[in-house]
Amino acid sequence: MTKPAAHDSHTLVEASSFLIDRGFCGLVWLDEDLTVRERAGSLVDFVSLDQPVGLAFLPLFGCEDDIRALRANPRHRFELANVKIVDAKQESPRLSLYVHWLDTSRRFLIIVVRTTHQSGIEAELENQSRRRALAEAKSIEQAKALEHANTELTRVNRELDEFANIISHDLKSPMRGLRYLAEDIEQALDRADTATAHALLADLKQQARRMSRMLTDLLTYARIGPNGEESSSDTDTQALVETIIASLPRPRGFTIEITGQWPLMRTVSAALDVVLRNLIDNAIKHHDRTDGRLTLSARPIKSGVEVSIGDDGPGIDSKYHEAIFQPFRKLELKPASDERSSGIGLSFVRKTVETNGATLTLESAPRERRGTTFRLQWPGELLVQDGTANKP
Amino acid sequence: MSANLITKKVLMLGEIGVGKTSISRRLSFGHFGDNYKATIGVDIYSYDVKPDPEGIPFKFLVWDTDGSHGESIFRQYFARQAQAAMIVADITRPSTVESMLKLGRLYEDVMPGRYYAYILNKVDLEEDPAVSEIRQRLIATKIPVFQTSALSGENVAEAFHDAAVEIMKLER
Repeated sequence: MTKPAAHDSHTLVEASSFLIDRGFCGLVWLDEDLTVRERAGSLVDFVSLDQPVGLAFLPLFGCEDDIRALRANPRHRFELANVKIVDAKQESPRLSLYVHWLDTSRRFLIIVVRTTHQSGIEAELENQSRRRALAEAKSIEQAKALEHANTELTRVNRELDEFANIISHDLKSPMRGLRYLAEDIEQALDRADTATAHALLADLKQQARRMSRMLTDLLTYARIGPNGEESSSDTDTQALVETIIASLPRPRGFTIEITGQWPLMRTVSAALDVVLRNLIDNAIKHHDRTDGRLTLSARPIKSGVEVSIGDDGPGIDSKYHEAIFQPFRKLELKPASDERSSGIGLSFVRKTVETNGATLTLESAPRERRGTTFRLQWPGELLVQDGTANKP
Repeated sequence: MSANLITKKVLMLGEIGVGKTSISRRLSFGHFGDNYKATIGVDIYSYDVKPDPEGIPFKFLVWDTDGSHGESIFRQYFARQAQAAMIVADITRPSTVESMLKLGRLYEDVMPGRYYAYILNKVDLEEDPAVSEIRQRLIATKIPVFQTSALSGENVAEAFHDAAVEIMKLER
């Protein structure tokens, strides 16, 4: 070891007492340029000579300005506690560093001491306590996952009940209709009344087609769920709604107005399409006038977009506000063309809304005024025009 | 030591037990230690990025921090001089992903303009479904996201190589 430059004796005594009291591990001297010139103690393997301090002694990397600042305040010291240097061959003890400016020698002195506030047993206890905290955190997460699974199971059970109810009641009736038609055809043929038999056969075919459609829709409905693989994409909501409108048939005099601010957002656009398409289609089909009017407006909200779909149709009595979302529950007003409708559209809407964490409310009071407004709050990440996230 | 060598200090942040030390050891020593021991204080590793980004030798000093600091980490003295951060979460524990996002926002506030990335670690295990939902929000943040396994080494070196390249771009 090269002998360090002369120190003032007071500093030496002070430093020595400090070292003895605190668990000396090493000393490092830097010149005014912060280059390591001397080192001593058991830390030599972790300190390189004649290198800038940040590279020679890794814990002090980036601290150069703080060390230089000591020159202006010689009585101050700079501290870095609880660090350990790890390389492929060895690990240093856990260290605390104290850097002083020695005005008389115009050098910096780094005193390195072992972190002594913890004995081996205390450190092990600390470690055990953290392991326990980690295990507890994992256990809480598992309990949450279990709760989530239970909620999901309850939902699936409810849907199964609903499904069984649909099968037993809603499909039974058209099946019975088919049987009666078959019996009527049989009786007509027994009477050699082929004209009636032919007419009844046409009814039977139409009834069979309707049942087929109901079954197809029911299967599609059953498949909507949280396990869908749909992913988010950047979606221009105005373009989406315009495409939907262009694809839906409506009477010549029926007008649709788009107003408000339709945002660009990252969302599950296929699901949003299902919801908007069914709500708009429903409003057109169940309107009682061919010159009806539908107003679609939107506004960005913190968590996505709020869309309202308002018509000037006959309205929906409050006693039906829940029923219209049940599969195959159509109200008194039949759509113009029953062929297009199985009565499951709004059930699709509700299930898709629930699955995607959206909300849907219905406002309609036909005894006071005409019209129905569905208000949809759909989740998504709002984007600005260049496609980047729009931070609130 | 090469005169052209670039050395940068990177903080490993994230909750206790997400794998910060395992990633640091995988990166520096190329192996995985299955004996979990919580980091108390800060452990310093060094890692020479390979291949050299843009042909320039690049070294990371990896400051593996104590996860118990939580968001107070930025009040610690050693955090001030960091030039980058890798913020780690465990894909089997959704709360660690939420914490990771919080730390990311805080890092951006406290150290604006510096590079940081999110690391979803333990991809060798089954992902919690709630993490899959949060993933969409992660993508929307536009912050780099790496899916790693300290156990197999998957994507670990790649994350730090990308970080080196991006830091060089930021400083150009």
